[in-house]
Amino acid sequence: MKKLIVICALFISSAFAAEFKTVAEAETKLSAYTIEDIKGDEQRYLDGKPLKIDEIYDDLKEVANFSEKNKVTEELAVQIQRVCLLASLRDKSNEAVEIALPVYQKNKSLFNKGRKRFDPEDQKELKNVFEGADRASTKGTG
Amino acid sequence: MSFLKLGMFIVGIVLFLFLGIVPSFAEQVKPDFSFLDDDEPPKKPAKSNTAAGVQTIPCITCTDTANKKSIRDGKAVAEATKAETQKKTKSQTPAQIPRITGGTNDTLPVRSELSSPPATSWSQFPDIANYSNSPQVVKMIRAAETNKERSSQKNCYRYVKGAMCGMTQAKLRTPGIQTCAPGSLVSRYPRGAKVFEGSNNAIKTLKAEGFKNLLEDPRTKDLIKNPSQAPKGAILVYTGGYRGGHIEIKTGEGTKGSYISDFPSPASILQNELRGRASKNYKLVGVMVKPMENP
Repeated sequence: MKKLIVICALFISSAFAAEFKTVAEAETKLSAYTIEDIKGDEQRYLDGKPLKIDEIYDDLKEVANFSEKNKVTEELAVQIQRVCLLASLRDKSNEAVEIALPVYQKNKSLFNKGRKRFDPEDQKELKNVFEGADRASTKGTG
Repeated sequence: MSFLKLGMFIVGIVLFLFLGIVPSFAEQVKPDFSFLDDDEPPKKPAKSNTAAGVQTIPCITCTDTANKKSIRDGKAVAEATKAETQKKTKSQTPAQIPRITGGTNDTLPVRSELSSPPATSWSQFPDIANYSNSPQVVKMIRAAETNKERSSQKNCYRYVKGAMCGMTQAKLRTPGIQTCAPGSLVSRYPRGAKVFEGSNNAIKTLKAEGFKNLLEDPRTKDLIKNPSQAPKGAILVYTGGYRGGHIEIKTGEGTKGSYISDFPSPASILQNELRGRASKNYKLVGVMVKPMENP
């Protein structure tokens, strides 16, 4: 019984650990991802290890949950867009953008402002992708 | 000056000395002690406490000793604060982010474990082979390759319909344009906003245009286990995803060629394992071709 309680406690604590408590925490987590993480997924796949791109999806999902009740900062909007671009290097279908879409829809001005920090080509890409996903959410893909 | 004002001034000084508080009214009071002087003409109000003969109070809030005087001057304090804030903001301007997409970053390897060549050649089905080699399909593939974006703009159905209609990218990007060029694979712009939305789906729409689903044909349904086994020029229809499915064009035979919707990919939406769980959300439900008796 004691073992069961300990295992349950571990699961519960790990589940809570995945949640972001503050904006700074979310910013720090997202800002830690690099292109090398995405490149490293090839070896992780061969080694049977979890992929970083899935971790990015998880974190974006957490950010989306977090932003439902908390205020998003410009820096967080920048980091969300940055990891979406990183994920798009492997996943051209832009799953990451779909996950982050609710955050974008509630904070468009912050995303637009933060986008100015990117390279002009990346700015164009981000604008098209987020606006496209926003449009598709109401009008479809056709 | 009335005794009341003098009293308020003294109370202000006392409060300042013992409590560290400057009552706002104390700043508004301009003490005039001229009534105490018998001979001398009235003096202008003193600018500082020292000049007025009051004990000098060390600056409490100043961090810069050179600017002690400014603590009494609200305007100067405000300006100094503004300048400091501007300085801080300027020094904290976030760094620009170097380009992420493009160049070698966009050519990362793609792992396609699910790919396998077709078990049988499609040449044994003349009506399907004629379709794959038809000028209409060649035109559609050329249009798809010309119109493709770098990554998905969540407009897959529009771009596939546009390729079938021989539309240019400029026309595709203009909402509302739904015209098909002469000699296209379809005579009119296919209807529907989503690939899969209830009974109103791409399979039904394409069937109305003369297409056939090879996954429903008894001759071919067992030949296609994954998208790489579909014939060249097939329109692949998937359920799943966030926006009611996905649709893409297969541009080559077997594992050759690529898959294009509004973005290109060397592997189908199902096949790139390095996309993580994004690959696992779709299911192939339609391999649409338009059988042709003559090439």
